Amino acid sequence: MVKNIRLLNPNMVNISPYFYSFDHQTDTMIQKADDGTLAFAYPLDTPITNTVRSLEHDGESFWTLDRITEVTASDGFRIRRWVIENFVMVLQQTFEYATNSTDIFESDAFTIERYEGIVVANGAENTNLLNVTFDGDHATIFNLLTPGTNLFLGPSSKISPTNFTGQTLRVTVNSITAPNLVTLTTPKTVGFSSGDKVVFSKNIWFFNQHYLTTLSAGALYKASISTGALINRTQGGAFRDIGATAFHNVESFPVGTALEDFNGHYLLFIRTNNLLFIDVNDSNLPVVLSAIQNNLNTTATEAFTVSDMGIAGNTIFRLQTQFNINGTESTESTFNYQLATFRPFPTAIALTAVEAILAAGVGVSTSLITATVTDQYALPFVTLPASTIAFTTAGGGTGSSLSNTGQIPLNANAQAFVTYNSGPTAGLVTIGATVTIAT
Amino acid sequence: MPVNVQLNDANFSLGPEEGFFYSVSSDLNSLIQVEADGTVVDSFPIALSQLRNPVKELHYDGTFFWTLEDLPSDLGLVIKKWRLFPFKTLAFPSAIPFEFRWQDELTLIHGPNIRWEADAFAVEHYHRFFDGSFLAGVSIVRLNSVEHLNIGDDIYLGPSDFGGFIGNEETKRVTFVNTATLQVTLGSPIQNSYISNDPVDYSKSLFIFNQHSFTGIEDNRGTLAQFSYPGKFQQKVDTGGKYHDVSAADYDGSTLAWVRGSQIIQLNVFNPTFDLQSSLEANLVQDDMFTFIEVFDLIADLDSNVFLKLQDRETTESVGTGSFTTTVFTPPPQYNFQTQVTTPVVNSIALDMDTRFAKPFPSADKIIVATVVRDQFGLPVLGQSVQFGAALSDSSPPGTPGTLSPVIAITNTSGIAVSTYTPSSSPVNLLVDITGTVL
Repeated sequence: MVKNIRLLNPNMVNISPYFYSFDHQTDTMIQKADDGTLAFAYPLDTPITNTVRSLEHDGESFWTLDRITEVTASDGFRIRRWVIENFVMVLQQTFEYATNSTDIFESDAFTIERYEGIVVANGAENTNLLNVTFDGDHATIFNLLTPGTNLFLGPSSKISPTNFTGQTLRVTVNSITAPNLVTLTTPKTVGFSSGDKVVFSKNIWFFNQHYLTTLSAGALYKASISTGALINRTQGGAFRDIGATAFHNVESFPVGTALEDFNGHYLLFIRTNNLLFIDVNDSNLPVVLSAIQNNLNTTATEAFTVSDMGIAGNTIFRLQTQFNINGTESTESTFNYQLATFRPFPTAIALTAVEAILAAGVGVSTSLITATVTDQYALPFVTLPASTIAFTTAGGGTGSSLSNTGQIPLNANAQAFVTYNSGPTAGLVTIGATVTIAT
Repeated sequence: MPVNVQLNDANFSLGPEEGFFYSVSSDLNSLIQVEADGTVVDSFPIALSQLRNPVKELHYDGTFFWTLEDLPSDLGLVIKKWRLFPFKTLAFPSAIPFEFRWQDELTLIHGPNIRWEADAFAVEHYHRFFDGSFLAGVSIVRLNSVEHLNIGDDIYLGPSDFGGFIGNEETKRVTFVNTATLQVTLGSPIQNSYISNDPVDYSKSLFIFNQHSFTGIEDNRGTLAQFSYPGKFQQKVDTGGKYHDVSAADYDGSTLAWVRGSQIIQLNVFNPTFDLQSSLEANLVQDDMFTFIEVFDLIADLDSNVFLKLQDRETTESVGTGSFTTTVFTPPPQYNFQTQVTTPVVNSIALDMDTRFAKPFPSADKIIVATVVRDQFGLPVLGQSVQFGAALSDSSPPGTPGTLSPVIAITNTSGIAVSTYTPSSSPVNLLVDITGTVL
């Protein structure tokens, strides 16, 4: 049994340490701790009649996706923006994507492209200047601040001369000057200190079951964050049957490994049992990385549906009703999360033997055993210092042996080698290997 | 089983006799008076009207009872005003109430622009006291407060505790209010004498939580409508989802309180913007962790910092295990009240971790575990001791969980207590449940 957050609906977003979900039956957004305890609830100021299929948070607003018609997914869907005001979830905007002669709109997964940075100077009130910096690729992100982009500042930690602690502010970009100066359309009415948070959202991305009106091809659609207007569509089979997506600044890849260069902002989505990474700032929208997920059934014949996903730091919360935990399957009546991580961990050890069949006899025959350790990205599991591997045998003819049964460091390709020596009598041998992660 | 009033009908209120509860019984066609353990001590048959449907809510304003019923044939709803009759007056000092007599009603019939559907209403009423002794024959009296008292209002004086007038009541119309001296000029001399602290009550308006707004259809948008009393004209309307699906409400002081989903929401009705005063999570979730418990009626006693919620079931938490159990009161239908305090108490504990995956000891991996403790208002709780624990999950392979240090930590001003988890040495992946318990 996997029972943690116990949600009634297939939507969830994680804002640590809480999980939020919209319930259309009670027109409420609930806030839960990860044992399912209800911490708080926010009534919706506008009733919703259909199930919310996907929920996102952009640092300021909550965003929901629900179908125009509950039972006919291909009629289209709505994306709505909400904010908490005075204990109530207040609707701000609705973008309706109704199927028309150009597009069949059918989607259960969307996300908001968002970036987070900090104030580095000019945070004071009554000025329309602001200096900011963004994690990771600052220059690329800074250049996304086109005129009209809304910035969400705060909460403020500025206490002097006026105490603005806890206050937030929505401002609009007028222009930018490299390397980090933003000129706002109006002076700030709230003051901020260096280090206070700055977030902005750029685009809406949704996975459509159809490219235009085609029935068999999926597509990734990009829409304006401010108007909802479609910006472009990208066809792709990988974009079909998507239930969960998110946008995240991945910073979990260790320095000195092949993954280091992959730290950055990604559109993430789960297709069957893979978490795929798209760089949205590359116009070709390449999938640059894929991480295998543990949402397969025990016979590896079915991938359990992931309805939504939340991310906190390097942890991924996959919202599911079916689970496979250490080989035990379970199905829940509510939606709960299963954990995954961006941190690379060994997920597979591939063993090869050359030769695979040896002759027994007086003269010793040998086989080269190679172990290759890979992580969830199917990349060599390389650590500094090197992790080690130990080989074992079961069975085998009398007198057979391994050249090394101790801990063997993995090389730069996450490989290790031993030699298996046959004995005077024949026998079936099984060779195993166990990785010990470097400390 | 923690039962108390054991009512068969889903309505209750306080009443003229302190320490008792009152409920309108459909079966008995009477107002019944019960002790806090459910013992029925008196009943007052309905007179001058009849119940067309079960009473959804019952309120007492210090002099009158008020009920809410649906009209038959889906015509709308009716709020009726009742009084225990006869009551003692100068002319009938020996009167003893024996019936529940209809006084007046506000009938709300569906119109072309509105559908009336409500489970909750409240009576704006004020409970004052004589400030000093006043002898029969005077026309000017002084009260402890004249807030919200206006010329033309009817006020209800008594029951008197003045010797020779014990228990007598009377009604007077206000002709002048001196807000500086708190003196009230009455339209005619008082008939009875009163001593300090004898009660004076008056009602000003009725608040109705309608499911729909003024669109003429069942739009489920929720509306709070205020009707003056005794004028019965609509004086204020506010529309919003926070007024939708309201199952119970009450008025105390200048606060309108209502139950929506899991929350008790409070509003100072004299706030011109109608911004909410507060919202608190009121322990209204069943042990499945997602189904709300309906509150059928509500008594707000804000001077005592408590709400009494009339429910047909309740969820309790085991002190030892922290597990929740929902008990349906039997035999049904049976309604009892559960208390909800308004003084801040610990309501939720949420765990935040910088990561949820760690390499085993002797790696340097550790997990920073932060417990966020909040009260029923969603605000941080300072100075709370939290005990941390780690145990193998039910689905974990055998092994030894790691350790937490410190084991006990105190919450800071943000309601956060922090500990550090150090994994154990293990050759296999362990699943560990980390817990934080408020001591």
